[in-house]
Amino acid sequence: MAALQQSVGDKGVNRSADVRTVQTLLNGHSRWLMFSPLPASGSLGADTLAALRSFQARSVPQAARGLLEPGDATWRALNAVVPDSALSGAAWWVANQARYVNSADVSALEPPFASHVANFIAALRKGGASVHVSATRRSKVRAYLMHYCWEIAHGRVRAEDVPAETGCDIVWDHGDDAASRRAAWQMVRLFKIAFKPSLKSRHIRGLAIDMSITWSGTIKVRDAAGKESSLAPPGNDANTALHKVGASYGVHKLLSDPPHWSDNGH
Amino acid sequence: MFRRCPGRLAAALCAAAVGVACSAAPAANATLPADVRAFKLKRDACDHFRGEEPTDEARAKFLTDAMRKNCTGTDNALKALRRRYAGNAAVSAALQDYEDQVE
Repeated sequence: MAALQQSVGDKGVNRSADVRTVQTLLNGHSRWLMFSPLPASGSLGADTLAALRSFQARSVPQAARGLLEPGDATWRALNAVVPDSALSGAAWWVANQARYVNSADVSALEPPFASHVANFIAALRKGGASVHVSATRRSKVRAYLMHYCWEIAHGRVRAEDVPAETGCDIVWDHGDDAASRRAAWQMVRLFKIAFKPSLKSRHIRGLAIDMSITWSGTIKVRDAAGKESSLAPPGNDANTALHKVGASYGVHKLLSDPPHWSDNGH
Repeated sequence: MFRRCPGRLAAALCAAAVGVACSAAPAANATLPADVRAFKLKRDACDHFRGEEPTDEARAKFLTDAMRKNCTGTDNALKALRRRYAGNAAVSAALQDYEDQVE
């Protein structure tokens, strides 16, 4: 454990050597606290104080904010290693997956696309179609996790170089490359990833929906202008009349993917 | 391979892309070489499916098959096209945003 002679922080003694020690230790936690590494200058500035307060808020919420003393709870926490529970791997995902779920609610989509979709679905149901929505907005963090576990596992990005993602406190860096890659591979296998997951899906931006639309016989559905269209089966795949009705509401079909509709057809 | 028969390869790539009409390329793409257009069609489809997450086993199988069909070979194809058209500003611009490695 590093040595601290006197208090550091707001109204602390702030010896230069002590401040430098605290800055160095704080930098060891910068990734999960998501602040830029501090210069180990020995001078207590606003950035160091903010980082200290952030660390206390997350690690020792009972401690006074912005000040630490030799041997106190903040000092002990600052010297502690990153807990195993924060390290990447299958266990991390099992413990945290409930925090990062995808949505199948139309209301989770981005306005005004959400209302466009709601109006289109309402018109379809009024005409007698059955609509089942399977996916709307995709969790950005979930996509980030899938993307970077793939990149680390394949050795294309080092764990220590993975950018932080707001709202996600996973620690990719296990202290050596081999361990980081093994943990990343656990997640790749858990997610059953076959190709590198994209970070640019329109689902992430709330601008796409996956849904199946079915009906029997011929039905009549009103487009956004109120004009009635006759729709014969089948549903999504090749029904250009259905696609035109969707487009009138601002909901466009991507032909290559049966359940996929979006704001621009991509 | 690209150097010998870009036209035939373009047609093959185009036909391999899932469910997208080959004649429906945007006007901005019309002046690009055929092999570049074919690559874009295939990789764009690949990029779409890489952004989807399955909600059940049937969807998972569909997405995996679609990615195998549209992503496989595109890393090397992109590298080859960038090398071949290194002096062509329009092609370089059209290819610059594609990720080097997705496989």
